[in-house]
Amino acid sequence: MNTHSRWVGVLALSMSLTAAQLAHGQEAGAALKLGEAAPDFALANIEGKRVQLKDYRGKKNVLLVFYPALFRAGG
Amino acid sequence: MILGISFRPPSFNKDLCEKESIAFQLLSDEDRAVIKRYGVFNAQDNCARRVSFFVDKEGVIRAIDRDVKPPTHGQDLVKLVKQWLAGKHRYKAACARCHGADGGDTQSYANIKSLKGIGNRHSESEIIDLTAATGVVDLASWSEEDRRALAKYVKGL
Repeated sequence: MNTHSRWVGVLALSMSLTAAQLAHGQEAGAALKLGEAAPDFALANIEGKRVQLKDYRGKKNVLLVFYPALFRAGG
Repeated sequence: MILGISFRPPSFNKDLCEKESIAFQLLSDEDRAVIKRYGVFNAQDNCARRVSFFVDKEGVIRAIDRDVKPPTHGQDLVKLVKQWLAGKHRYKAACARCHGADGGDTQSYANIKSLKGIGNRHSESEIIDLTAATGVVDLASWSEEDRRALAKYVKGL
């Protein structure tokens, strides 16, 4: 194997690793870190009206509370 | 503003709001895309884990509670927000002059280090130990509560 093809091999390997890491991150949900911008979203409220996180930008602190199904104990 | 997020549809959340007298917004993430984006998806049960994010007015994540206990969920969150706000107040009064409003100042004092991202490297108790050991401000004279609040805030810089 000459130097050139060896480098191509290394490059291909590192690219496939990056792709695998990206795919894993998206599937499992890459952990968000402190100091990072909160990803925006648009979700329906109980009236079916869309609420976007960015609507509160510059106006209010927001507490995002993820929960399984029920807000209280048991779910 | 509090936004609750689960995979349940709006109709379910509407019933839940009425039954439980919930006064804040409940949002529906039926395809679990936001739950996954925030890294809180529980694949085994196909729903969100009980994790809360405190996002400030600038849209930045400043605190994450990954250890929410259902019986004290509400109180824990109130405590988290109160502590962060108290810490912000203490930081502005005692630390911002040298460290800058955002903790990123590395110029105003010899050997001063940026505080940005410190919460991703150190736990709250480690931050309390660090502030007690070094620094110009005498934090030893502060109450335990004030030091905890400061650590909570600095963690999110």
